[in-house]
Amino acid sequence: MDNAENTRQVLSYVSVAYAVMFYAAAAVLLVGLALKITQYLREPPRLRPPGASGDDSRFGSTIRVATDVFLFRGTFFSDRVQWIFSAFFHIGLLLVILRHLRYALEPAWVGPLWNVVIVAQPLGLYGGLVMMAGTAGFWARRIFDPDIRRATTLSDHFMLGLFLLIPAVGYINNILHTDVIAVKEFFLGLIRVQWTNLPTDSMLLTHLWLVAVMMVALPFSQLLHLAGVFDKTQQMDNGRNTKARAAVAGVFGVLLLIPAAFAAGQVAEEGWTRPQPNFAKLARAHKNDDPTVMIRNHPNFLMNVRSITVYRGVRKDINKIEKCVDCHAVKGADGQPVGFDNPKHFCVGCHYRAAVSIDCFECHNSKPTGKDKAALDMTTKFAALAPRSNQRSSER
Amino acid sequence: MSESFEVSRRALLGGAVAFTAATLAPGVVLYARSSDEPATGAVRWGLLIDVNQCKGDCNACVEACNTEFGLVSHGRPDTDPQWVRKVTVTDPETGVSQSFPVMCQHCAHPPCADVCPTGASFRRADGIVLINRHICVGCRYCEMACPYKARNFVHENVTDQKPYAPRGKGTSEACTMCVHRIDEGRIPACVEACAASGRAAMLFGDLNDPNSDIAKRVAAVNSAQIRADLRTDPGVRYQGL
Repeated sequence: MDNAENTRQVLSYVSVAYAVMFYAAAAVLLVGLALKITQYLREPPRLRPPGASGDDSRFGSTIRVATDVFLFRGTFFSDRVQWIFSAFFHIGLLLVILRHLRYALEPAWVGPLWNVVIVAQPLGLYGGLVMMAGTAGFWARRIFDPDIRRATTLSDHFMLGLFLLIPAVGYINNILHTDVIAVKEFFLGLIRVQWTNLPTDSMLLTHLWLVAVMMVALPFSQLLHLAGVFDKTQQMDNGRNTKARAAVAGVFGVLLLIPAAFAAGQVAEEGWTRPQPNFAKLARAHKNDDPTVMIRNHPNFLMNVRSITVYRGVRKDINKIEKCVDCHAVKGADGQPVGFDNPKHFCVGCHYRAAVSIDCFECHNSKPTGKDKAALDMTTKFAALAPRSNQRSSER
Repeated sequence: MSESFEVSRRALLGGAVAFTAATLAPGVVLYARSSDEPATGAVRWGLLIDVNQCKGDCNACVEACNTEFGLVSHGRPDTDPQWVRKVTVTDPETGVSQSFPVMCQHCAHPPCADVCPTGASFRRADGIVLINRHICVGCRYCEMACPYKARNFVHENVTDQKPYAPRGKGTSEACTMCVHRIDEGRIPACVEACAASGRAAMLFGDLNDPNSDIAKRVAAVNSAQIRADLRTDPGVRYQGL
């Protein structure tokens, strides 16, 4: 029922523009990568770079390629400073990507591997800083080292800028609280070709647009050296910038302005920052509201009321997390309310799926403790909401 | 002691809660504010402990506190939580012993709040010193800073917390003067238990209200703050120490 309503929802222009943009960007990235790989495979082997190891046995070259790919062996022996920056950048990027997998995967698809995504959440938060440190190091070298500056083009500054700007905006989103569930629905919608609406927070739209720009720019830059694995000498291609390539890149660049225009229109309409809702009203109305309103706002709501309670001692019922717990209690197999260690717990379904930890219950009791045991019949009322993920995946 | 029930200016706000007065200890005045109103600096909650009434073998306040907050022993006395301690002092010259409870003294200038690196330790407008455990990182500086040894560290996993008293491993905690009860217009659990034991050695009230029992008694009898020389100005005072 819930699902049917969602599929009937009216898609916003921004959501459609972004959906098309991400399909196109993914296509450009994949085709670009494929072309690069075929280019490497077709070219005849070049001369062995000086200093490469002499072991040409299958085992020896496997080790050589593997250490080059995973430990950047070549860079380690040629340029130690660059090696440090690339280690920072790549390890950071790996953690960031693992963290972002929460938007692209359903727990049911990956089974126990979902725990990797859960563990990566705090790591990815720091990984972004590590990645930015590496990027900043690279950029500083391009500016301050005269030899490297001579070989630096505008496109290098552009890519390095992107790699600083994207995580920076990402951190702003983190502080402003993204509607994680809605973003996840959007990207899973792209995968299932069942589009849903993207939250229209200005910073989220900015972050995603920059990512799409990067996906399109990557195949035209020198940074797609992942394909260099297929180079028979393991030597990086220097990205000969032909006029044709520049023209194609230019066309894609202009096309990217279309979703940006839609996003800008949306932001102009709604403003850069979203006003905080009236929390008292939100709490009173949430029984009748569209559940997505509370899903979107409950983190800020809880943060707000907890301060009012602790610092000012205003203990109205709507300020008490015990009231949330009382009403949203779910009965377990034994007829007793379940705790947050049980996947049936009201909060756990969504939070597990979004890989967001629930810190509340490290101190607060996750089970109803008193008077309102009668609230347990809410189980059926909220059944449509709590296991939303299961419902969707089972329908497919 | 001849305390009678008094109704203060603020007592009439609470309506229903005010009727619980009949069950309260002698000398207690109710100050219920509506649940919509924040705590104000017009009030300063305090305790007056009559050391002469407190008996060495009585543990009623400690037990009441443990029950109220669900503080359970794990059989490891060094790390078990204890918010109220019964302290016995003996004068080496005369051999006279006194026993009395020591808990968070709810200082006007709390050293714990001064040293807290995250701002988790704070003094509420009405004088109650609390820990916002949402932002406590468990560094334990406050435990070092407190001259009264009032703060505890939660060493063990906690389950089935009381809804009004969330507690979790890795944070500092201390007597809250039963802030959840005060906000409802009730008196702290230890004071209630002390009265129930028949000793009535503890008196709770608003030190700022000249008509309150505690303010009157503080004005009338000789009482002391522990380590007054530190000028932390505790809200807990001791009579006959």
